[in-house]
Amino acid sequence: MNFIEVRNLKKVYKKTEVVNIPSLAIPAGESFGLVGNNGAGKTTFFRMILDLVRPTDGEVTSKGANVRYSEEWKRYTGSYLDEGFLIDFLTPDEYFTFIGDIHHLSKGDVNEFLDAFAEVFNDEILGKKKYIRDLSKGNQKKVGIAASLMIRPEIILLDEPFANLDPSTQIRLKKYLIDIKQQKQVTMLISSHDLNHVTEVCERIVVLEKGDIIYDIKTGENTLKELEQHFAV
Amino acid sequence: MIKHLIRHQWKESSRSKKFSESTGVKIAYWFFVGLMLLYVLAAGFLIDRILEASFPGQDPVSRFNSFVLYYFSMDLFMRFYLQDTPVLSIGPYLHLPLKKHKMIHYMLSRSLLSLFNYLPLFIFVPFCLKVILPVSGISGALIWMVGIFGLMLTNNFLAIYLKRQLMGNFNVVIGFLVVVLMLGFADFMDWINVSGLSSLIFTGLSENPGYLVLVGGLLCFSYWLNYSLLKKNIYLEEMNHRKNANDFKEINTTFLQRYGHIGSLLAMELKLIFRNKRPKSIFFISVVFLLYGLIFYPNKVYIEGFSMLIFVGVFVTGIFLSNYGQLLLSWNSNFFDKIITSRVDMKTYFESKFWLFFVTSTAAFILSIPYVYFGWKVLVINFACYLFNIGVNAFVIFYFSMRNPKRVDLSKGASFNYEGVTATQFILILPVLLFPILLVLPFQFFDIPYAGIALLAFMGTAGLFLKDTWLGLIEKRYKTKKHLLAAGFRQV
Repeated sequence: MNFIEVRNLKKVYKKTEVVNIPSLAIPAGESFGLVGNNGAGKTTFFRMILDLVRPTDGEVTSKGANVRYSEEWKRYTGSYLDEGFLIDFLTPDEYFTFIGDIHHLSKGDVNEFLDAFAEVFNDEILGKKKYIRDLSKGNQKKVGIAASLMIRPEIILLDEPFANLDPSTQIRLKKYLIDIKQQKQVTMLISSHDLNHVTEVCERIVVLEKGDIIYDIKTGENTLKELEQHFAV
Repeated sequence: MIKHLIRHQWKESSRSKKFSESTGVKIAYWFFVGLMLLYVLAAGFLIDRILEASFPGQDPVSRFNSFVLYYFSMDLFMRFYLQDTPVLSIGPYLHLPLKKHKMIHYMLSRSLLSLFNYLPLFIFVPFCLKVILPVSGISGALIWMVGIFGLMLTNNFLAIYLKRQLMGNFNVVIGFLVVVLMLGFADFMDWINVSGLSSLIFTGLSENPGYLVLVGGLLCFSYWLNYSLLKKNIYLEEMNHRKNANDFKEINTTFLQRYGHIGSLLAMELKLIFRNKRPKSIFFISVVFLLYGLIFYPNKVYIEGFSMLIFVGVFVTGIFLSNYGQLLLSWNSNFFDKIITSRVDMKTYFESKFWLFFVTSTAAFILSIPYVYFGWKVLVINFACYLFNIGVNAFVIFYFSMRNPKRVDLSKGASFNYEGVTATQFILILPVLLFPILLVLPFQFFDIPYAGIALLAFMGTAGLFLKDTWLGLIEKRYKTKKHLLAAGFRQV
């Protein structure tokens, strides 16, 4: 079964085509890596999957339902694209509680999940009387990603999840993603500039260039090299 | 190098949000600025008349001078609150091979451009030309004016210095204000004579050029204070007087837990209001405006009519609604993407906002009940206006809040902050305030005004009963606007 299907998807800003994907299918349980230079259209593509940007043409379906008209996907989709997903005058604890409430998670569920993140949070995030806006960029990102994973998503979208994170957290996050992929069959869409990480986590890599898909490959032994070659100008 | 800094400065201001506002906002903005300047200028030209009328038989020059010392104290106080410290703007230059002392000089002289240094001239110059010139001659008037201007600039540097030293410790400033007010009171009661001292100093100024040396000394001293402070502390973390972790404010919202999603959203909105400067000041201004009635109710002309009372009624019971509601969605612009990708049902989202205004308007109405002192009429009208506010105006504001809203940066201060304000907000306020008055006018014409008041109340009540229908309509409109809203809010 295809989790996400993209048909004839186009986004045009002032006559410039930012995204143009005639057809793309992401099966359930796949870990999908999106790679491309700045301006390739990665974030815009993700935003269209989350119905944050109106496509100029075409559609995205999630579990068969067009994301523009059905809101069912919000129940099972975890996402963190940028700071626009954080409520920065709340403390991390309050933010997690809020997101938990909205997604009908019990206090116990939230706490249990956060306990598992204790190592990642490194005593700098929970139980501190500090607003999210006063956290460092890296810690803000940890909060955002954790909140997107907390809702027990069936699919997650992360935009540049490894950027700004400290090395330990990068490694932990990578492990965590590989883990949930294997255990729970979570579908993952991850965009990254870091070819190393993305080839490690994702079984399929798609390269976007100026809005077009120019590579769509299964990750194998030589993928990293091929990608490096492609991006070396 | 200074040339570059000045060029950047110019770019910073010409590319700032204020200049990119829509024409409507620009016109309104400059209209109010022009109006204010005109008022001040008129005050400058008429102040001798006012003084003569208030203190007949006394010399206007010495009378005027007797207030100048108080003026400078208030000026210092105002600057402390409103004037920006030109600090953060040098952040991006610190790592470049530029001489520290040059940057400090640049930063300090930049503060001289502040409007606060020139606005008072609109009072002092006309007064000087009209009154002092004939008495003291050209040289006397010139010395007086130069002296006053020098002290204004001294105040400029003093304010910056104190602001930096006190690290935003506003208790000291309030204490200062209280002391000045007490001195003023004691002076008024003739216990002490500060005004005499003031008069002595500033009348002396126009007679004795020696004072100018003193003024020059003070100016240099205040400049030097800043300079040496900055020279020692030219590190961003030390200059930035935004207090960090210790400004945490616990807000207990457990009582909202039992209301489900609406409760969670309300709890979030409450934290938004009380943890961010601009919404917080809107809240407190709304509280102060509860007293607005005191301006109108004691006046016989207004209390016997209806239009003004309706205006006051709508205003007093709905000030928070119309002020905060103007930027309804913009307040959430920083995290709007999260809201609309989460499981928040948008009808519930708008309903939570409705309850926010329901509760605040109800509280405002209850607090306005003591106005019954001015007659039952006031209470009846306020009640009708209250119903109209929550049953009609609230939904009108919700509906129009989706018309081209802009991003609002919550962390910015409140004073002179027009971020997110577009022509819509100016236009919106008119029907909200005027429509109820127009509605009652025909009934007044036929001499049955209370029927009109009853209609207001009826419309409000009917609107409340139809709440779900309205919210449904608003949700429908939201759905067609969603992407535009989200895109607008992402634009920094």
